Amino acid sequence: MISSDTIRGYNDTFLLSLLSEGDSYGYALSKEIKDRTDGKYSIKETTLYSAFTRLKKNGFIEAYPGDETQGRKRTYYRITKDGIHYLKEKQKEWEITKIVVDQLVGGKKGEYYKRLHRANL
Amino acid sequence: MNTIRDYIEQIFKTVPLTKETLQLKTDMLANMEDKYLALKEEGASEHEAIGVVIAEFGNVDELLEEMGIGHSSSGDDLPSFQVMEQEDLSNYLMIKGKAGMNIGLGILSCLTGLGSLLLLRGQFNLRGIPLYAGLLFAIVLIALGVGLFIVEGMRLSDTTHYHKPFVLRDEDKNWLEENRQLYKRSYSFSIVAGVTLCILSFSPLFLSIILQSPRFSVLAGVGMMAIMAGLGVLFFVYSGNYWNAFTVLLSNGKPMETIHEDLMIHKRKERAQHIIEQIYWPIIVIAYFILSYVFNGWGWTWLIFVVGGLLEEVIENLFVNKRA
Repeated sequence: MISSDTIRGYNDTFLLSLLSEGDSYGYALSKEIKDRTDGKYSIKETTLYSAFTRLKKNGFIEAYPGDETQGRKRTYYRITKDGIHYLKEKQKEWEITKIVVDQLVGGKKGEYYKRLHRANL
Repeated sequence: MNTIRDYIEQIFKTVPLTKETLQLKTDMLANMEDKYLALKEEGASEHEAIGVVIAEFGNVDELLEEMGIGHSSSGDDLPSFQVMEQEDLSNYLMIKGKAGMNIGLGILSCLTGLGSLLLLRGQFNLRGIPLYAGLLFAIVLIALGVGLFIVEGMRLSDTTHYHKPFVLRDEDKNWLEENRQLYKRSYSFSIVAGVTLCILSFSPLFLSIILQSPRFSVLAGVGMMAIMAGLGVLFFVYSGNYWNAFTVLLSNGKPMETIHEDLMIHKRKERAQHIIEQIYWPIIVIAYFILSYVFNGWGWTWLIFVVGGLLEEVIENLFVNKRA
């Protein structure tokens, strides 16, 4: 399990990313997140709907009533052009973030010390 | 399943009802039920499934903040408001209708007591014990009428929360408007009936005056007039109260988006009315006496009341619009 603080800034991007593969609805999306991460991350109900609200407000997704399945009418979400654009930016940002975090937190410390050591010589 | 439903109901209890929040509630409930069913299918017990679903619900404040809904705990000294649902609306309509009917009956009762006494006295020239019996009968009817006024007056004083802005959802507003439309015909009929009865009520009096006959005294004419007018008034008071209930509900029912603003305006209006009642009119009365004594102008100083009346509206608007 991952702490929700760490991942907070990425929930919107997770959802956009999944929606860029096709329209979906609340439960299916949260299940997909859980399944793809092998249960390491599960999004809370309120976090999910906060994200939907925010994304809708920003015009990144649109909601529409879906057909009835298993006796329930579900609200489906669809990614918009702006949403796709935003997702691409976020993907680029992630590439950089990944490197930065890895450089500071990850296992490259050795290199840093080697360089430091060399500089001190 | 019911536990989840109850849980959601509980969570949304403090959340103002709008189209948005209602949709949200429905969606979240559907999601949680999906999750619950999936867990059960995977072999979880009822107890476990519910535990997981509720544990994964999260924090509702996060969500409300995102939606821009002030949660009750944040209380940015925004005035509190009520959401009136169809049940509350029908309740008010029922109270008003009943009050209208009973107050109308109270008036009829008073007038019948008085009227029948006059009628009997005028027609049969009652004296002695029959007269006292008639008097007693009249007093009982009048007391009954006054009793009805008091009971209904108290009942109506419990409905003050309908007399300030509250949240009315679109579908309930439509429901109200439809019902008002349906009632319009009976309302018109009642007004016509009331007016007709009140006009006709003069006819026994006129008849008695014109006839000048000992067989139909003027006193009896007045008595009959009182009873007929009472019937007319019953029509007015009942239908007027019921109709007024729709007007009150429709004018105080506001959409969710503007409720805070409407409540502020209402508060300001109330304050203005308070100032007018407690300060404005007393000042005018004092000014009236001072002017009258100092200039000995009793002949014209009364005009200050006319001017005061005209200015009242202006002053009220000044208070309401300021800082609007």
